[in-house]
Amino acid sequence: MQAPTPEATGHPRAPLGFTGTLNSIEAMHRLPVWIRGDFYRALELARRFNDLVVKPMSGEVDLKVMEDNDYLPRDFLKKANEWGLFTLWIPKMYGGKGMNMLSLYPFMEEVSSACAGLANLIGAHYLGVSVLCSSCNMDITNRVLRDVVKENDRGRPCTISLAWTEPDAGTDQVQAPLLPGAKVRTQATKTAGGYVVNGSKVFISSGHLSTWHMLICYEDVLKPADTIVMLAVKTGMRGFTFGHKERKMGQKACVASELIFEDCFVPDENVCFDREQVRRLGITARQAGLKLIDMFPAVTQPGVAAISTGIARAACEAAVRYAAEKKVAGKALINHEWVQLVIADLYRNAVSSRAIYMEATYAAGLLSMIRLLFNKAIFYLTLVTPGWFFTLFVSPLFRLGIVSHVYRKMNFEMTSPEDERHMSGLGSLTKFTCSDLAMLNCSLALDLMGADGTRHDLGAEKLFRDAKLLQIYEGTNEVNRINLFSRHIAQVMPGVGVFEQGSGGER
Amino acid sequence: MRIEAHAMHNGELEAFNDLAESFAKKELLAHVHEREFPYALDAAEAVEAARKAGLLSVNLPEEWGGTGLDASVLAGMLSRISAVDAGMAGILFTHAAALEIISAAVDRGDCAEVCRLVSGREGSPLAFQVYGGPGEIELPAVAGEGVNQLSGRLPLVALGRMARHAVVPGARPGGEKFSWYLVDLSLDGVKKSDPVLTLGMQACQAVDIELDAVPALLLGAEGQGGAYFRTMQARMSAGAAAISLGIMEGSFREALAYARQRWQGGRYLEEWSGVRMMLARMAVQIEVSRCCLAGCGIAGNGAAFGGEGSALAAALHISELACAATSEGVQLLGGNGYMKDYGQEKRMRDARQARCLLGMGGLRMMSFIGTIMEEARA
Repeated sequence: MQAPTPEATGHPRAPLGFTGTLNSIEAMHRLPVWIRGDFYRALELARRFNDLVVKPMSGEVDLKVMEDNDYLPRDFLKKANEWGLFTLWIPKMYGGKGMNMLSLYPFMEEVSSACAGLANLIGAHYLGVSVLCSSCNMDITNRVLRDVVKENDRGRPCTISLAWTEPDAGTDQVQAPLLPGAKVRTQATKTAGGYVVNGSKVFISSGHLSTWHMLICYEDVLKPADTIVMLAVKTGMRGFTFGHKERKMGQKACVASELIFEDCFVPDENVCFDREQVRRLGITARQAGLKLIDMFPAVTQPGVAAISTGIARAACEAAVRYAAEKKVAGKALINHEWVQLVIADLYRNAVSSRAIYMEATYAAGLLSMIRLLFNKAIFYLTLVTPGWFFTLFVSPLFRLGIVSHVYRKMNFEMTSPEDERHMSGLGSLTKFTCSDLAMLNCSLALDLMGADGTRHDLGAEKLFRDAKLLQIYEGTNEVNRINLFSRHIAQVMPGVGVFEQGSGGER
Repeated sequence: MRIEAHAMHNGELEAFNDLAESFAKKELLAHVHEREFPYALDAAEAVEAARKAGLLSVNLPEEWGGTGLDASVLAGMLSRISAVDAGMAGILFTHAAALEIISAAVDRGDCAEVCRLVSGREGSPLAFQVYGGPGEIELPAVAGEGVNQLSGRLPLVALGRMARHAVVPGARPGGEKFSWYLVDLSLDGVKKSDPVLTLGMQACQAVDIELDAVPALLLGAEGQGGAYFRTMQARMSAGAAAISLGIMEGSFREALAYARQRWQGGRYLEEWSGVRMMLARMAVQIEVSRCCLAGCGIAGNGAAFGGEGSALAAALHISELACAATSEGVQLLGGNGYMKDYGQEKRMRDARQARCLLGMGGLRMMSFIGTIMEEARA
């Protein structure tokens, strides 16, 4: 991708300025005050959930998956559903309980401090929800999310996964500039009444446990950026089967699945996004598609950062606990000054990590695709309106094609290129910084704990295994670094190319 | 450290390294993951093959029927084996470390019983708390005169399940110094836990052991445990460093091969300069580690802190580099690096485990600077 300014002066055409990194200050007056209370309510809920559900299961589930890779923690899903966690953050207009989506981040941090794998079973579901919502197809979003609510109300856990990564294409699909060159294979062929899908997806978080799958595929696999198709596929559809479960190093509670599509017919009513739907938006299919895949990482990457922060905290807590109990050379380890220096760093990393992802959280409320929900008037109106009102009077409107068209147009147009650039860069920065800090903390903690830190029964080694995945999924940290450079730095550097052949190494 | 590699004929050293490499490929490569938890394959078979190949008696004194080779030869062997399976290298290292304690403590010409037990003909390697150092491990209490009896807890005894005998520390109640003992793990009063699941090097299974008035053979002089440990540590640190180096080399090879064949974002991975930089970092870390290890062999002739210090420092430094390099090794493979279908995630876990060999890193650092300061005062 080329920075837009044509002249190659080699100097910034404007100071970097670090603009847009004071979202928290903006949020003070622009976001509804009520969300502050939601943050605390979410934290309190997470702490109780940790004590009663997550902590007693965490080590056991990890071990069970190590012993039998086919084991799926359905008991946990059932419990999470009993606690209402799969519908709590679904907007009221789609039948959910409508807790503000920003409070999901501190919730995820808290649960991840007890087990990132189990937390990710909840996080992966809301990743699916976010992707579905980002399609701006109100009809299918409403139908799928109401199905999720209905099933969960009946006591049958119903979650959504995101099916995107392919055996030969991972990170390059996530970054818009790389998508044109990605070796994708999963093809959706237009046919009467829908699409026929062939191909496979891998590393799909919570795939085997999910009922709905947001499938991103392509009409022309040689032109993926121009032909993005997003489909809602339900488990049990003919032609769709589950393949193997990956044998992962960590986050074992959250199964990583292979999804196989063999002449899988997906009807038009399950098409969330395709070229036809965006034809009248006044932008090309490529622009619309790339905008779509640019929009949701800005919301989902702070989620990865929140999980990272949870792990960074847990590593700090594990090290402190150990140092207080362990005696070395006749005195408690924690009373050695060199140990106190390490612990101070561990604490610093956890606190810094939280500050960074909270900044992105505020930005999501102000600038991302969910910002409409945080418009004060809409927020408070939604808060006081009972759910049945949405079901009876608002939900039927979503079936009208014009509603989705207007909503999509509004959402796409309201998100200015500047906001999009800022959010994409900030999402990347948050994701790679916090996941790096999580890994750093796990390494420091294990160093401090010596061999005891490597024992499964003491829990710290699991943090280390779990943390590594955070540097890989939702785009490797390296690609996210380049994305940050592209969106926040190259933007003001005339002639600087990013993700280009010229940036390759010399033989 | 007594390094005599320079005295050994280069061809002979090379032949020994080739032997280790061919053993690793022939006996270990195909079933690396099966020797890991949940242990589809018992490592005993591979240990038996190692014993037959003479790899268990590399540092066993010649008077006791061993090869009697020095630490540098052992290090070469360990690096080649750990490039394939650091767990197996951990088994050989554990046994060799226990032998070094015995060797430092026992008069070789005057202890036929120990000679018989450790000669390797018994078929089982020695168990040892290879991840602990003085000051951090619990010491069982020693009672009795003439016949010593040990009681107490011994956490994380590597090979404790497989071995017939273990080299363990013990101290008399109220005593300031500790000693080393040889314990028969088949005796009444020895209680072993199930294998402790560790982060890495899982083929080298460890158990927690409870001793209840178990008779034990004192090794060397009573109260000299610290001195024997330091001797062992000085000789085995090069081996610990070599394990870390081998893990790094394995990780680099796999990352390089992957970068050559993986297509990402419109070109092969190796064509991205960011990827090349990551590979370059790994390569530099490996070359620096090789220099460090080679330097241990000549340090006695010129290094600032002497040969022993060099090996200790090399182990600390190289194990740190290995942790960083293997994490990048996973990163270079992306999602595939995180999966057990490739070797990278295991190497990352193994590198972290290898960092604990011979004790907690922080304490080894403090001990290292303590020695330097003592020397400076003198």
